[in-house]
Amino acid sequence: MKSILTGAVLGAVIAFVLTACGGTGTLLNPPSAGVAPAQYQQIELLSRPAVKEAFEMFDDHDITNRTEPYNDSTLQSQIGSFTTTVAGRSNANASALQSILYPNEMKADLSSTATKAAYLGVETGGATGSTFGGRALSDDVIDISLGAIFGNTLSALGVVPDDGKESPCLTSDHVSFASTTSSTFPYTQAPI
Amino acid sequence: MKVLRSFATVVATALVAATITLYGLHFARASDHQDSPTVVARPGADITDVFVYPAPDNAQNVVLTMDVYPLIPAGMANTPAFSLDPAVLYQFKIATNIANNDYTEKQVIQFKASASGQNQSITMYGPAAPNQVGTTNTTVKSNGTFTFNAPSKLLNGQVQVFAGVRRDPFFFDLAQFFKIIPDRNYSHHAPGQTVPPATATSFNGFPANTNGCLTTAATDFLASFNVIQIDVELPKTMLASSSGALGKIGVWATASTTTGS
Repeated sequence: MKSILTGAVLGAVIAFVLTACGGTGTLLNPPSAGVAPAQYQQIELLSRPAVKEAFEMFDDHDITNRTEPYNDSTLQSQIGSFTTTVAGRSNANASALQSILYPNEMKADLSSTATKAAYLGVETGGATGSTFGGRALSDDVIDISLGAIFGNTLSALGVVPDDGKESPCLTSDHVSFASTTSSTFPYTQAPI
Repeated sequence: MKVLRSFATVVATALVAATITLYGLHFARASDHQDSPTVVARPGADITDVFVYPAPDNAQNVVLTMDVYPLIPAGMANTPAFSLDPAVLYQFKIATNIANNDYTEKQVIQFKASASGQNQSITMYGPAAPNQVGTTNTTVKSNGTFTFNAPSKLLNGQVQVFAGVRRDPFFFDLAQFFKIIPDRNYSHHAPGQTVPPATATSFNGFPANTNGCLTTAATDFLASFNVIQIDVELPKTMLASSSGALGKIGVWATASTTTGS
């Protein structure tokens, strides 16, 4: 709480100072004939939630952040190694998670007539709630991920045999969608 | 006057630096929020979440969303600093041929802010085929400009866009996660810090008599924070495969700078 309050006070000061200064910056890349276009280098990447965070060592996140999601052998290998060593699951579980979660792209099926998204819906044939896949605002991606890593989700789907190595105390974080959605674009809750 | 202005700029710079330091040391908690030193130092480039879903208002459309700038405290949404980083090129990248195991990007949608502060205007480039496949990119064709915090329509109304502060839709008991896997907590990787051993082997909130799991109440760490959201709603046909058919796509979001930092 203290750090939040400290941040709030500092933010207010910054708001004042920036306003006093005019609060403007410069156009870094103005379009201009005859000037070579600015070259932008990737410093951050995200697709499926919680993949980097769950499976990959913190010190390697910067590698994934600067790599194409289809050329990322670091993440691919650590999906497997985390599953077997930290989570203590079978090699079959590790291989299944690698094939589901790599390449590191969020899959959606635009040919689906489903009106709702469902995280990992494409990869599971709709078992998570919709063949559209993608990710809905309210999807409990953490519990879905925890169930696949530490629970019996994969064996329940028939993807792998039950390895009997579930960690039942790690299968849900027991929090739920606290925000709200709207029927009007951009569909998310106004700031609090 | 010039001297005063310079002093004000120095003060502003120092305060921003101080906030970033605090942000790094004290706020260091979240999911993909704050997942490398580079993005902790540049929170406007810190992508926290990606969403892809059918548009609620039009079955022919799809919505792509990325959230950046984690942990904007409640009540601070109107702070000018909480805006898109004008040094960053934000991109949705879409692989439209994954049915044939081709996961490279075939379409990109790019956003770039004109200036700092919430009066910024934002240009959308694309959707279009990328000039370069991979991690070094230039902007594609501009398709219009819109203002921060204002839902807008571009491309003759076919595409809706928004960039602004919204409540963070993500939910997670982060504090408990970091007790279970301390390595993922940025603060343990700050200079002079070491990663401590795990102090928990269970999440919270389990019913009594569940295999000895913790029954302590769980806490949604993100419940009282906002993020900056970039949304684009467009016809699914704009992301069709090269044959024109609607099919499976792979989506990811990136943040890029000319300096790589």
